[in-house]
Amino acid sequence: MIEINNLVKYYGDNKAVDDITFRVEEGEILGFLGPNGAGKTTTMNILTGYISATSGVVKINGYDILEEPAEARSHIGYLPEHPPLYLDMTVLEYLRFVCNLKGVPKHDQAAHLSIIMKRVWITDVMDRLIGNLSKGYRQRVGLAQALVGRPAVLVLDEPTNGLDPRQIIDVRNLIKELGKSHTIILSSHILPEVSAVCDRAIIINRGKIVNVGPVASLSGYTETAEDIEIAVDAPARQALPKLRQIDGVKSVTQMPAKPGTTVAFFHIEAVEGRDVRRAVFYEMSRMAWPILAMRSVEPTLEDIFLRVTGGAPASPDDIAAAQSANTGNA
Amino acid sequence: MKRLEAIFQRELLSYFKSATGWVLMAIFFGLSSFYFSINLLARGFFMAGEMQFMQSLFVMFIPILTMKIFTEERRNGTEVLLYTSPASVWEIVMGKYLAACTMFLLMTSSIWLHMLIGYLMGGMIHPADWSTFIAFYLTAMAYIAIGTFFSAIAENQVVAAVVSVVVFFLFILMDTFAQMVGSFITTFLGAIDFANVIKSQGAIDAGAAVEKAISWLTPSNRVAVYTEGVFSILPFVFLLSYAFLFLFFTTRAIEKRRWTQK
Repeated sequence: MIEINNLVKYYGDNKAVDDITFRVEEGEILGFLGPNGAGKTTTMNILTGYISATSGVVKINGYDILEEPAEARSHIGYLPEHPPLYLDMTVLEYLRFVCNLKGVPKHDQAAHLSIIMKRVWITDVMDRLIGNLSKGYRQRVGLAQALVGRPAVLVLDEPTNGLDPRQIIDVRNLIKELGKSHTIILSSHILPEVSAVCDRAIIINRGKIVNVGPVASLSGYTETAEDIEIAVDAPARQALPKLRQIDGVKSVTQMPAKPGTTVAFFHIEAVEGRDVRRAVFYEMSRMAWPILAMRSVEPTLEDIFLRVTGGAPASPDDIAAAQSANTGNA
Repeated sequence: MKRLEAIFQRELLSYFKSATGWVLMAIFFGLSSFYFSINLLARGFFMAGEMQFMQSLFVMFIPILTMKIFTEERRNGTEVLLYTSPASVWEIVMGKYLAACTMFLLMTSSIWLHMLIGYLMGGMIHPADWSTFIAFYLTAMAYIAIGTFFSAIAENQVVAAVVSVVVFFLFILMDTFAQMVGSFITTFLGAIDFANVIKSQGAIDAGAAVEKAISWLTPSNRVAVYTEGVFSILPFVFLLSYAFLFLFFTTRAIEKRRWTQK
């Protein structure tokens, strides 16, 4: 369905995409995962024909995006990072325009649009100016725009960006459902999102593919509770050595507490593959120190890069990117 | 063709969804009507004069008309929609260009109104008025194409407008500029000709030829004969080619931007 061969893109001297090759089969939902600046958007812009590659071949449904652009593009619905909306039009006017642009026959437009608008829950705002809509609604109008013309391939660049948690869940479910009738490429910097929606994921960093595989292999990284954070009502000085003695604990770091309280916060790193939550609970209860909160720390994208690349040292930029990705809208 | 139509429609509507279309129309109506009434009092019904006067204001109107065409799409990020749609670059450029031309047609409808008023009141419409009418629109078409081109290459609409104004202003000064270059060449040839190889008439001829060549390139000069009531096919072809050439440049500029993004 989508074939990308040896894609390279330079911005000046800077190599944004470095020899990427992959295929997406019909009906597949592929996650495109990477920190900010990894080359996700560039790759998507190239495969939708918005910008050109320095070298390499992109084929959509067998049509080369450079040789037969009109044919290839008529099979793609693209939701870019910033939805391409005319703020001075109403939602309906805008979607009609997109219909005409994509060649949906006039007599078919009303029915086609009403299905799409129901699907992305914008029927109630169809007569409002796009410029007056909230970010969440705009994102959904952008999604509607991508669905116009029943393209076989959907390319969605961070589709849940700017949505509230409820809407994020709705959009994820929608994407899953669309996956039954479309081939989808979806980019994200949020790990759980990709593992929730996609069949297969490509991890990309600094323009290079670092890992390709089914998402099941990723969920292995996300579901173990190797790192936990706890809040204990205990004197920190005494609790720290107790925690360190627990079997399976690799290291414990004390985190800053609120002044004037007796609650201490710890970050506990466990030996790989061990779950220390129960042991921590029993130890604390034996000492009669109530645990007020315990949560597992999800690995950042950076952690996964370290694992899949075999622990290559990370640059400060990468860590910053991974952290901002993790604290983003997960 | 359907896609061109869709782009055309949206573009034309956008003039009226923002203030641009209304403001342009108001200013054009105001100025032309003012000239029309003054003219009526001073020398009677004289459409050619009004059109020539309004044509001298192209330098101000057309940049406002064209500055947003591509810069606005880029600023809003909506160009992604157009360039990833099945529409070709030619369809996009032509759709937008024709919308700007139509907007110009609407904006200048006050001229038809004045013509109608004058005619109904028993005024005479001379053949020269009709040919001036054609010259007026042909020149506008060429100017709009130039403005469209600058809108495609400029970073933002202010730059697009300023560059267009400067170029249109140069067109006005082109005759003076051509004379300057011509006489410079004549003087220069005379000055370096120590051995007196070139006849003085030769130097003058060379200067005159260059002068002629430069002023030949000025769009409004080409249709000057029209204002005398002469219709000739050559200026017609010249101005349409002018417009076409700049539209072609526009498509190239857009393609280039997509190939060499920094």
